[in-house]
Amino acid sequence: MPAEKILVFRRAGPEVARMVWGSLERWFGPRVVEALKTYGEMYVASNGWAEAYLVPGEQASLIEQLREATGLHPYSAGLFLGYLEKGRYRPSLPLAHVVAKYAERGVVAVSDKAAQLFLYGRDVFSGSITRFLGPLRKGDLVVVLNPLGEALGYGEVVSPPQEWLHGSEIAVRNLQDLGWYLRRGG
Amino acid sequence: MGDDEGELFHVKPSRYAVELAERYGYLPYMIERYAEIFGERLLDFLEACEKPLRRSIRCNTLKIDCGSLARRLEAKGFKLRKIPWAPHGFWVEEEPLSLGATEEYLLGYYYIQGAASMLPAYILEPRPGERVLDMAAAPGGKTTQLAQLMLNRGVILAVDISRRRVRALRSHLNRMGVTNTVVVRTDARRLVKLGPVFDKVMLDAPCTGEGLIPIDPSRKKSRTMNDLRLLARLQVELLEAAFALTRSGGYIVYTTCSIAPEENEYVVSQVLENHPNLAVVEPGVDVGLPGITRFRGVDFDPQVGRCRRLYPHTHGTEGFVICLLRKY
Ligand SMILES: C[S@@+](CC[C@H](N)C(=O)[O-])C[C@H]1O[C@@H](n2cnc3c(N)ncnc32)[C@H](O)[C@@H]1O
Repeated sequence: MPAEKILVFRRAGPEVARMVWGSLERWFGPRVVEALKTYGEMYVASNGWAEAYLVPGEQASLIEQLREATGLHPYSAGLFLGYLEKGRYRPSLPLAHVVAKYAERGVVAVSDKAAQLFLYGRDVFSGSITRFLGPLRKGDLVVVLNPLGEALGYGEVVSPPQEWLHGSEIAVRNLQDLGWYLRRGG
Repeated sequence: MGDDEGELFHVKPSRYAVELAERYGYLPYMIERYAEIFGERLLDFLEACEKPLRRSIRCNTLKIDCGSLARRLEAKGFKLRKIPWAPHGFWVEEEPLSLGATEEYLLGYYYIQGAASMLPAYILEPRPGERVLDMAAAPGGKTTQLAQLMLNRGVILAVDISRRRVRALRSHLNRMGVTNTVVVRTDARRLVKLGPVFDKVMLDAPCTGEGLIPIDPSRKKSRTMNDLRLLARLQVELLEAAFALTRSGGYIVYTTCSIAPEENEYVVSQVLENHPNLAVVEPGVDVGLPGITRFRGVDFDPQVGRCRRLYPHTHGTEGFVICLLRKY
């Protein structure tokens, strides 16, 4: 993404859309993508940084009116899909909630104690994993759930199930958890 | 109104006011005005401001039902009691761990919100599918509540002028799962070029915060009479903008966390004077004392008696004033 000095909010180009949908489908399966696509069109906000959003029609028309009448662009709108950084897509925390509902793979549920630790930024030991969806390969991005099935954030698989021998090896490295709202979100 | 402004904003504190101000640590001009607002209940008010307020939360029905949330928090040792006038509100009577650090908080199941500050959204009563403007939105207590009442449908345009506070707003929207909101950082007065495109407008105006003294005692001394005058001017301009942006037949809630008549009934009165097709109407939620129609020798438009006032000594809440207006 080229750095821009002013905030711009516009329809996502085909390349960005392909990257975002492609990543989500690879991580979590096609059902998540289908569910999301019914919600709205993809937009990108950029101002040096870049972020992707999914915006329903009635919001899009207000955004258009706003731009025409005042020249103002929104800071955010609709559902925050995630960050676009260095040609890569990183999913947002609010998206984890949607993913947890529709994912066909890329989901790991952990014990209550591990869930609490995960919210403090800690990694997940293999022994705390109570169930998972799909084949977990090293490097995969996964959503981490507590025992009630509530999404707590994202992790990266650092060791696949066939390497979980003692329960004490780190299986999922914490990438971003809801504790972010406390630590950074304020 | 120029002369009225002179009278309203020129306060000569009595000896009694000066004495009380010293005893309770306020600027004397504040006490002089409170004496007129509260009459013989002045000391009740001042005493109530010395005590911390009960904390309260609003459960987020976009993500959880209120009963389930209450059960989860009670299992962790919290003691909750329903707030009679707030369908989603609970007083927190025991708080064994920090309300802002529970798993339920991080999951967006509730917002920590003053009990009186829950009222404006119920009074505005936004419906799913409507277009709603929140003109001074950050950090998002009212925006997230409006979204919940709208079932995340329709559109909210949430505006705030502060970069730092807009970030907090956005973080709360994400945490609470709000997706029907467009966030814009600007001076809300700039929006008037949009014209009357909103069904409902929330104006939770920037104010002196004279209602927040029990939470933030520094406000006993931090604002001068001149701050009050400048804020009243800004508030009139913001309410004028709200009027311009509301469709005919639409509603505006004007509210502040200040108990100052200069920031509430006076502001509404000023704007009513300019617009015969604007009226103050009775809110559907029956709580609070009536608005003040005469203050320091100045008569306001009698309609402002339909505004509602809440105080620490009468309602156990932060001080708040709420007016529901309709544009015809
Ligand atoms: C009382 S606070 C709003 C609280 C918020 N409604 C809530 O419920 O969380 C007032 C807000 O007005 C904003 N503000 C001040 N002047 C403004 C202006 N001209 N246009 C838009 N926002 C403004 C301030 O940055 C502040 O966040």
